[in-house]
Amino acid sequence: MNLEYLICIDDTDDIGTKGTGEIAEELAQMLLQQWGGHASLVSRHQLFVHPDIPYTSHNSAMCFRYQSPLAQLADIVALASEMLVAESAPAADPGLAVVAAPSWQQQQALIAFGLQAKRQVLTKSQAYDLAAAQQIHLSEHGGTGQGVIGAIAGLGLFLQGSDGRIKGQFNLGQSSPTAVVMTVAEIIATTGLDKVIDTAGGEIGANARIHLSGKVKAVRYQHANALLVVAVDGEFHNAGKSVLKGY
Amino acid sequence: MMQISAVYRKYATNTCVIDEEDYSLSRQLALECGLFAQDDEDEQTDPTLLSCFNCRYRRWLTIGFECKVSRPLTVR
Repeated sequence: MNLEYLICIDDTDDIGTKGTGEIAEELAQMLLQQWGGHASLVSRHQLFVHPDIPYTSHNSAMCFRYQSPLAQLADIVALASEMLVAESAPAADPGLAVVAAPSWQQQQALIAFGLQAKRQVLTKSQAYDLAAAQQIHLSEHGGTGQGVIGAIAGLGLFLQGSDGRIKGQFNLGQSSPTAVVMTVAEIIATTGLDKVIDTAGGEIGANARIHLSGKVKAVRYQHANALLVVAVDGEFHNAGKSVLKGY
Repeated sequence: MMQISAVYRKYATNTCVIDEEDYSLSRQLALECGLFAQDDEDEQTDPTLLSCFNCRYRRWLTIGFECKVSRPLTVR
């Protein structure tokens, strides 16, 4: 039986250093190498931007789901901690949060904290209080450790299901400005995404044709990874960066 | 839209805040800056690469972003 974990890291980078998303992807790969199983795509969750928050440039946390028949929570924490110490920028304040198969109660508490972290300044003590109350692993790995706030908030935003965008992009043979056209069914089969949605959240049918150009990126929507499209003159096109920025 | 000359003056004191939707100005500024360095692809929000929106030296604020480059812009 697979054990399921959510893992989130925050505040590992500095200007010009390896990004937090890249470190999260590398951590997922290391977990797979060590214990097998399956890792989801990494999702990026935007947190509150405020002068009192010491973020580098955008204040986002990176989260992924890991399922393994072998790895225990302590194994994951040990590997992730070692990696954060090795890979984080010297000026960073890295935080790590891990929860194993969260109960409904844990999920609700995490979601509430995550949504709060999108609109107000929270403190480390609030983050640690939540972790202690809900028995969630939370640890800091350098600097001020402020990253624990975003790390535990990121768990909640992942669990909320409709927050954030997927790190990276999908190469479907498109280029810019030349578009390729694929059906929704073909896109899902090729990318492993769950669905295609418009900006109102409506699911696009399997036979609909989507014009793909430039960078093809996905978002989290209703607990799924979804390609976001916009309707232009009766045609569906993959959403551009300026639209994706809102996710 | 803020005029580029006014932005240059503000940049010299590192207090410039660019409006969130001001893509054309940001592209012009990045073109003339000489210090543009692209941020992670996941953090870029302007479809035109050469833009302050996509630069690793911009820092998001509540009302837009600021430039973290400590030197003033290179003006043509």
